[in-house]
Amino acid sequence: MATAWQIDWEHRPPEEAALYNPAFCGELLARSVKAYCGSIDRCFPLPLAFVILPLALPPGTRRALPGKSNTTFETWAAQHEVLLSEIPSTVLALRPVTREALLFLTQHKALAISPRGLALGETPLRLSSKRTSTSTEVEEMQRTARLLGRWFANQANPNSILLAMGVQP
Amino acid sequence: MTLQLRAIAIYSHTGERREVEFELGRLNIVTGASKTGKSALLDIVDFCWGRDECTVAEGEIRRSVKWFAVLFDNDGEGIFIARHNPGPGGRGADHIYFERNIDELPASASHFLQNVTAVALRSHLSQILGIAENLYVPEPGATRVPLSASASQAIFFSLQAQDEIANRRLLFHRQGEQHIPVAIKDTLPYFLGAMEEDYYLKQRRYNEARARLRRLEKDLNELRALTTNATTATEALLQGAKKVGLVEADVFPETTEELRGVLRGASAPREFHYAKTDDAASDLADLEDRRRLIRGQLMELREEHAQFVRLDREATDFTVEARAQEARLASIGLIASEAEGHESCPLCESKLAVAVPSVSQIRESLRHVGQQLTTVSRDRPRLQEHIASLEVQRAELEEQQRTVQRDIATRIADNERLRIEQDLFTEQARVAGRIGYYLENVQAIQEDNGLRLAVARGRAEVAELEKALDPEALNERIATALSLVGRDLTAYAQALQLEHGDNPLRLDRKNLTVVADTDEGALALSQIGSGENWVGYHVAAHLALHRLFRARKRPVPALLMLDQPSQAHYPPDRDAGVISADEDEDQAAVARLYRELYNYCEALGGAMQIIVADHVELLEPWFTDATAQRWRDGIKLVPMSWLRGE
Repeated sequence: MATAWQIDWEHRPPEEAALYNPAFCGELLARSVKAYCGSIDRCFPLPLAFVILPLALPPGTRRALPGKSNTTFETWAAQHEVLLSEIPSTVLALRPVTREALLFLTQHKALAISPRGLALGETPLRLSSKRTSTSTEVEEMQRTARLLGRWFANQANPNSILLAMGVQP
Repeated sequence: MTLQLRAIAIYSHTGERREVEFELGRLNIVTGASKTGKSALLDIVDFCWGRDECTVAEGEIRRSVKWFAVLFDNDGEGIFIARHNPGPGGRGADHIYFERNIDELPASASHFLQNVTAVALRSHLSQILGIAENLYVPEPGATRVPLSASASQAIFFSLQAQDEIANRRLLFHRQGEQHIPVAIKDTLPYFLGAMEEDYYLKQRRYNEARARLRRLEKDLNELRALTTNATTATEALLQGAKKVGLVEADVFPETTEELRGVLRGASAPREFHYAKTDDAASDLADLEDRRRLIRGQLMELREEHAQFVRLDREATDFTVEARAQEARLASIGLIASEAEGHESCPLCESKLAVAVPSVSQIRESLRHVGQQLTTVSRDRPRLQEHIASLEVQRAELEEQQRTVQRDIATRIADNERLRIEQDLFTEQARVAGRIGYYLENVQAIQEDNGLRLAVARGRAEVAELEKALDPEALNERIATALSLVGRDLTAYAQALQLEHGDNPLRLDRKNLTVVADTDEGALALSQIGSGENWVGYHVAAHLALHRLFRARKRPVPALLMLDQPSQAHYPPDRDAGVISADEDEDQAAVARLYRELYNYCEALGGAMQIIVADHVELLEPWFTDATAQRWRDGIKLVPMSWLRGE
């Protein structure tokens, strides 16, 4: 299946390229990683990076996520079976986007990948700096990404998160 | 989807583990002296399955254990459930740790934490068992609420505690508790497979189709009433038409066809002609013409205006979309500088097939979107100016229209005779309208059979669904399933040489008991004597039920736990110890029971697991082979070392 991510930036459909651009997706990932590493002294597990965008981008899942990071994942998953049944296909569709965003961050040394997982790199993104342009949707996604980082940090077993979403670890 | 038990484990306060492992698909026996914790095994399984109350007996187990745990096997997938011991005196605890896809028991309990509630656990288990959405709706008039079968009810068929297996009044696990018998009765049709997996869907469809049919029938009846009351209605219409002069007074149509023809003529549109001879009103026709002209122009103008407003809105939509893109592209501002070599992979230094977009490329896109936005907002004022000019034109035309209308009104007021004429015309128009409406409906029902067809189709659909949902058919399927169970039940009772076993036996669904049909009449289990028979019938009934469950692949755990089936011969306080199989009647009967359980598992070829806790021990090779644990000479469920540590 040829997707827009197997062709160069200039030749992608402009809307798709702009909406899923690696800087923005990378920013969301970096926010999750930062929140994760801020809550627990551990590296961010690489497989979990691939479920951040599928949970944060679509409005359906974004709004169904719990408001607090101390909800346990198993209980939440049991309550949202129907919503979760869509996740595997979304993960598959967004995999190239996540991959590109991770590469982008690594190239700019904003993120470091090691066998133990992801950590912030030498020159992390200046997440607190003022943006030239923003919208309520973007702000909502940024909040969700931070929440996911903290939430995942509170779960005992990263594999159970993937399993509950129907994604093979 | 066969769910069996791989192991039961307990974890001490200091993190030590003690486990009892079972083999899948066969008879497993835990034999031992009394007060070694054999009965706790069944209670642990019951508690870890999500029961609200912990029934493990008070004593050293409740004091020295921190976590009760079970490891289920779901077609090879290990499902681990650990539940916090509520401690001495406690009844329930909501600390449950649940993990799927696990290979063996966790060595320590250090990472156990509450990750699921009891309600969510039961929902997970229902899903694992593969229980489809279902709902048992009680017969009309019953006061109980509809109940859906779930994992909570499935376990009732798999457990037989020490005080249940020899109870002559209660056949199933927890049958003596409030609401439980009704729950078993109502979910039995689903578990027996008498209720199809899509029964729930069909029921929903049926309710929806019936509501739709009722609506269609109502429409049809309204139309029918219009046509069946034809004679009086048409007569009244004809009289009305004559009165206002739409029909000549001496017309008397004879057939309905003729009558309809006359009415059709009466309702035909007619010209509004003023008395042309009157000079005062001669310019009225001109004024009418002018009014029509202005109305036409206004209509055109409104359309044009609407078009431009839409164009303007589309431009706004584009702006919104472009702003969303701009907002996301703006993330590039977080990057300090351009990185070296955006075409190569930062991890392995190889050249990427598709280069990751560079900062400058994304900046270029951001600039492009920004440019588009300025162009659009530059375009918009021009659109708006044009819209404004159209609105001015419209206002002018409307003013003209008002003038013309005023002129017409003055002219009419001028002439009294004209006014009367117009009154008559209004009345004529009203009657013509009524006739037109009537004729239209008559025509609709005569020419268009769509509604009738839709009603017929709806009826057929409801009848079809009704047949699929037919309570008679459901009862028949239940009877079939129960007669199969009865057949096996009779066979097992004969093999166990139970009293009345030579009569046809059946499972009584209403009273949840076993009934023997003898020449003297029906004998319920509670009327049959002797503890040996009570135990035997419990075992036979459960074996027969599980045989049906397995044959139909029903979502019930492929597991049967029995506690102390030998108690009719050797009471719990009399430790029998090792016995041979043929010294007396008691020994022969116990041996027969165990042999039957052993053969049952063999015959089903691994599809069924039976776990028995008992204090007898038979001197037979197959019995020794099936013995999973032997708790004598100080070996117990809770190791001695745990107690000393306290």
